[in-house]
Amino acid sequence: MSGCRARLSAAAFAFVFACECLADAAVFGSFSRLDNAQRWQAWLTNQLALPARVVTVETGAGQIYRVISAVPGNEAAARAWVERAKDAGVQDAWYWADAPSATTERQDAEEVAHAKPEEPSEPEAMEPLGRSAPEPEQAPVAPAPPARQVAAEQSAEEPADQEDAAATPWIAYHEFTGSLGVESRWYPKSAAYPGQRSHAGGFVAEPELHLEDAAGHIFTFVPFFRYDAGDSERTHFDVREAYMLLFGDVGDNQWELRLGVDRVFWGVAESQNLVNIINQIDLIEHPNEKVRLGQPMAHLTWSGDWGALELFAMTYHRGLTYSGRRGRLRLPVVLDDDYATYESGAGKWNWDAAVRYSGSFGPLELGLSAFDGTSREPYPRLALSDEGAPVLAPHYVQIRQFGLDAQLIAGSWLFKLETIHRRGALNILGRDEDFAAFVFGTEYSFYSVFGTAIDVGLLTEWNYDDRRSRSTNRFQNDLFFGTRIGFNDVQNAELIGGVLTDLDHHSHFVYLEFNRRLLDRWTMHLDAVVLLNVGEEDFLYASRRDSYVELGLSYSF
Amino acid sequence: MDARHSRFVHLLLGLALPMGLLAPVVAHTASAEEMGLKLATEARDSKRGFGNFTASQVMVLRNKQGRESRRQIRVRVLEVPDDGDKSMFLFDEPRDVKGTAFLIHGHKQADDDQWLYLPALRRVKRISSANRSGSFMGSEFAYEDMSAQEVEKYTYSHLRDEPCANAASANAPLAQGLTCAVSERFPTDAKSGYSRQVVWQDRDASRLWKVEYYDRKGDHLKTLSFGQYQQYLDAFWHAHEMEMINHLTGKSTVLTWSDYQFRTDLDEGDFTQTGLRRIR
Repeated sequence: MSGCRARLSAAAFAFVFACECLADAAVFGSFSRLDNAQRWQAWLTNQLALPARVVTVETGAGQIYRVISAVPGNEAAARAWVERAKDAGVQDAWYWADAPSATTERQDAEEVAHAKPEEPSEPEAMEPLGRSAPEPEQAPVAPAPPARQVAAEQSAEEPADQEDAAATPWIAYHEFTGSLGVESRWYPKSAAYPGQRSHAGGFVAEPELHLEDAAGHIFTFVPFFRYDAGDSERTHFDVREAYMLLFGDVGDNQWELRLGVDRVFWGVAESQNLVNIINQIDLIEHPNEKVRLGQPMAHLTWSGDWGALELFAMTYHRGLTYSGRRGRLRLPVVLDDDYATYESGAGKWNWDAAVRYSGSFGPLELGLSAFDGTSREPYPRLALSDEGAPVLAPHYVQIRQFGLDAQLIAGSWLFKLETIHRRGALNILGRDEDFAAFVFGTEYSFYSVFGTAIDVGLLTEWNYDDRRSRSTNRFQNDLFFGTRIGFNDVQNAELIGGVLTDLDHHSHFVYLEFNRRLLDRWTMHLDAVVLLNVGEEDFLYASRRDSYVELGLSYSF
Repeated sequence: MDARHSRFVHLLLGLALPMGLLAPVVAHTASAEEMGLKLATEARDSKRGFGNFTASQVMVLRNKQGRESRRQIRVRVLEVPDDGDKSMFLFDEPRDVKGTAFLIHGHKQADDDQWLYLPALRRVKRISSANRSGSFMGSEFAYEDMSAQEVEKYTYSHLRDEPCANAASANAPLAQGLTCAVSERFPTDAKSGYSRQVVWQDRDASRLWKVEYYDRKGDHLKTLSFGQYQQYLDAFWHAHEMEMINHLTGKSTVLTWSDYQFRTDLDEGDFTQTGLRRIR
C-alpha cells in the first residue's frame, strides 16, 4: 500500500490536504439501508459522543452505508475511537487503514475540527493487541514533512491543535512483561569439598521492558537478578538485553541494526550448541550451558529471499560465571573472574568480530559463521588470591573459529549437525592446539501417540572433539539420548529428559525437566541432574557428588 | 495489484475467509466431483486480493465440566502471489508463553515451512510440519485446521443444496433464508487426521457456516460452526466467532476474532526469521 499515513508523532491533524490517498477511519458498522445507518450514527453520537458520520461505499454488489469516524492521517484517533466503541460494547468496531479518499466528503475537515476536543490522543493506552505491526522504516514517512507544514499553517487558525501536538507522547507503545520466581535446589549427597552447601534456594527476576517511539525505533531492556542463599557467587545481576533496534527495507532486501547488549542464539542441537559463540555461558544458572549472559555489540543484519548476512562487532568480554566456594558443581579450587587474564593487550575491551550467513533451502536450514576475537571458554590457571589462597584464574586467549550448523527435515525426522574449527585455543595441558569438533544427531517425533494428544520426540546425538583426552570440555566423545514429551494439555505440561554418556570414561550425565502451568500466570518446574559412574579421569569428577533436584515456582506478568 | 493474482488461500483464511462456492453456473453434465472441485477453485479465486491483514484471536478452551482456559493470540497474514500465504501467530496469553511466535510459509504443493521462536533462549527453531493432526495450543483445533486449506490438498464431492438454517446456529441471523451448498472434501495428505469433512457454504457470498470432521475410523469427531460475519474491504467476509466441538471428548474451543486491519504496512521482511526474532 502506498503509506502516506501520518505517524503518531506527525501532527495528527494534518487533514485530507496532507494525505489525500488514505483516510484512517474507525468503522462502527456497515448497512445496506441508509436509515439503519443513520439510526446507528445517532446512537453513537448521542450515547458515546463519537463524531460519527455515514459514508457511502460502492461495492461490487451495490452501495452500502458505513458509519465511521475519521481524521485522515490520524491513526491514533481512529484506534482510540475503536477502543472506545468496544469498551461500550460495540464489538465489531474496527480500524480501517485505507479507507479510500473517495468515501470522504469535502466538508470532512470541518467535521473533524468539531470533533477535535473529544479526540483521545493517548496511543499508549491502546491495547497491545490492537496495534499494527512495527512499521517505522517500511512506512514511507516522506509525506510527514508537508503534513507538519500544513499543521503549522493550520495551527495559527486553530490553537487547540497545538496543544494536541504537544501532548503527543514520545513513546508510541510500551510493554512491560517478565517473570519472578522462587527456586529451591537440593543436593542429596554430602559435599566433595569443604564449605560446599547442600541446599541452594532463592529467587530470580527477569523483567522485560519494550518501548517503541513514534518513528518506530524499538528499545528493549531486560535485566536479570538472582539471589541465592547458598552461594554468594550465584547471587548475580546481569543485563541480558539493553539495545536499540532499527530496521527497514531497501528494495527487496531488509536491514536491521541492533545496538547495545543483546543475546544471540546460533545452533540446532540439544546436548550442546558448539557454534553458539556470541554470548558467554551463565554457567552458574544451569550446568546445561544454555543460559547466556548479555553481550555488548553492534549487530547488523542484511536479509532477503537469499537468506541473511549478519555482522557483529563486540567488546567488553564477559567472564564465565562460576560457583563460589560454598557452591556445588565446581572444581576443587574456585574459578574466580576477578583474576581473569587476557591474551589481548586490550583485555576485556578487545574488539571481537563475527559474521554469519544463514538461509533456508527447502527442507534445509544452513548457517555458516566465523568468529575472531577473545575466546568465551576460559583456560583455568592456578594462581594465588590476594589472601594467599589458591584460586583458578581464567585466562582468555584469542581465537579464530569457523562454524557450520545445518538441519534437514524429512517428514517426522530432523537431522542436525553443528561443527566448528577453532584456531588459537589451549588444550587441557595448556598448549596451543587447533581442533575440530562436531555434534551430529537426529530427532524423530511421534505425534498424538496412542490416540492421545501427547507428542513424543526422541533425540540421539553424538558429540566429538578431535582432541579427545586433551579436550577442555566434557563433550569430547559423548553420546546423547533424549526425549521431549509434550502433553498438549491445557497446562502445557512438558517433560524433557536426556542421558549424556561419555564413551571414553563411561560416566553418565542425566537430566530431567518437567514444566507445567498451575494457574493462569503461575508455572512450576521440577529439574533433576544426576551424575552416575563418574571416574577420576572424567571431566566431571569434581562434580561427582553434585546430583541435585530443583523445584521452582514462577509468576509471569 | 499483484496480490490479486495470488492463487493461495491460507488455511487461516480458510477459516476466516471461508472457501466457498461462488454461486457459479455449473453445467448439468458435471459430476459431483467436478462440481465440488470447480466450486472450491472458484471460491479460492474469489478470496484473492486481500494483500495482508492483522487480527487478534481469543481462544477459550472449555472442558467437559465447563472449566475454561484462555489464550490470546495475534495473527498476521501476508498474501503471496503464486504460492502459499505467509502467516505469523504471536502468543500473548497465557503469560508464560508470552513472546512465543510461530511463522508459517505455506506452500501449494510441498509441505509448509514452519519456524518457532522460543523467547527464553532467543532461539528460532525450524520445526517439522508433519504434525498435521496434533492439537494447536491444547485446543480442539488441530494444526491442519489452522493452516492453509489448499484446493489441491483435497478431493471434492458436491452433495446437495439446502437451507443454511439447517446448519447454522440460531444466533447466526445472517444465515437464515440463505441457501447452502453441502460438499464433502477428502484430504489427500496421508498425515491428515481426517477421512473426510462435510462443508456448508452459502450460495450468496461463499461464507462457511459449518464443517463436520470425520476421523480416520469414519466417526464424527468434531463440528466447527461459524457466526458473527462481517465484511471487510467490501469483499472479504470474516466470521468473528468459531466454535469447535469435539463430540468424543465433550470439550470445545471458541475462537473469537477481532481487530481486523487490512493492507497494513506488513511486507515480506516481517515474515522472515529475522522478523520473527524482532516481533512484539
